[in-house]
Amino acid sequence: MVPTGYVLVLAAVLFLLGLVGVVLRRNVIIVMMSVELMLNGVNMTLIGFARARGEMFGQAFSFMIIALAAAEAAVGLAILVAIFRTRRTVNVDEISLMRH
Amino acid sequence: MDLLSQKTPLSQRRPFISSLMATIALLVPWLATSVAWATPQAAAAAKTAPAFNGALWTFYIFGALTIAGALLTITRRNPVTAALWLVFTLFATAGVYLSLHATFMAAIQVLVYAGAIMVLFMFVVMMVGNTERQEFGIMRGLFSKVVALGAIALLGWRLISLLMRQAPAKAAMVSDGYGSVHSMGGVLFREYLFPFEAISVLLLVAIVGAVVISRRSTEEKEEV
Repeated sequence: MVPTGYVLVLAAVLFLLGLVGVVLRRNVIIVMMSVELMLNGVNMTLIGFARARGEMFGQAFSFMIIALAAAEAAVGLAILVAIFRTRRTVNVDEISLMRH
Repeated sequence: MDLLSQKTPLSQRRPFISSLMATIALLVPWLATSVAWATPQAAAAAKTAPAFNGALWTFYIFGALTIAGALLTITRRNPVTAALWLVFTLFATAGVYLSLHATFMAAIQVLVYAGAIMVLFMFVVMMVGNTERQEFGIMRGLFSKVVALGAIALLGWRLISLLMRQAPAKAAMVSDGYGSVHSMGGVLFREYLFPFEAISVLLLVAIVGAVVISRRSTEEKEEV
């Protein structure tokens, strides 16, 4: 059986790698992929705690987070396509329409 | 329509990645059987501690693959390669879920995440193409990057120390059907019926929203 601390550390590392990707990358698509990595880190925490308590509720929550991630990806990528159609770029530094 | 005619350069590494994924796909059933051997029931039935802790080794292998895949995802230059490495990471995460006896969630991870969501990503990557000129933008706003990375490092240290302190010393025993479709359905359709239905409404709204946002306006249509 897997010690819960190991699972939580792995989940935290996954979350932080996603965060580093969000901060460092300039391509919106890869930034969104990094957000998916962060969501996976959170999911792994929930499933790890569910395993530690021997209950199913954590898994039910992570099921809903996966559905939420699907909705987020659909809307986010639609916005990305709309931005690319008008601005011809996927660089987050150049997408600063709201600032002006 | 020049959006679709844009050529995406073929990556040399894709055969390598797909062979890695095939290896994982073959590895998963074998390791899943080791996990089944390592359940407390099996150990109690054998009256001896299992010499080979299948769940722990599954966790080690897939945990290492997860971290490696995540690192490669956030460092690849070509978005197509990054997306394929993300698929690899999600497969490895499914393996980690198996080691935690969450079999249904592992299947959902592969079907919904590595399947549906990543297909959506690949569509957009192919549509937008490889347009990234300035890769990491390290030199641009170096100070803010250093501050951000420092803050992330601090957050990581706090997160890991906090999670380690909160972790129960000993995981509870799990019953035979733990993590199966049966027990998952029981939880989802009894205790969490309302959130489940709310999520389905949310998905419907998201689909409609995505169609509305990404649709061309009427004047643009007339130009084409």
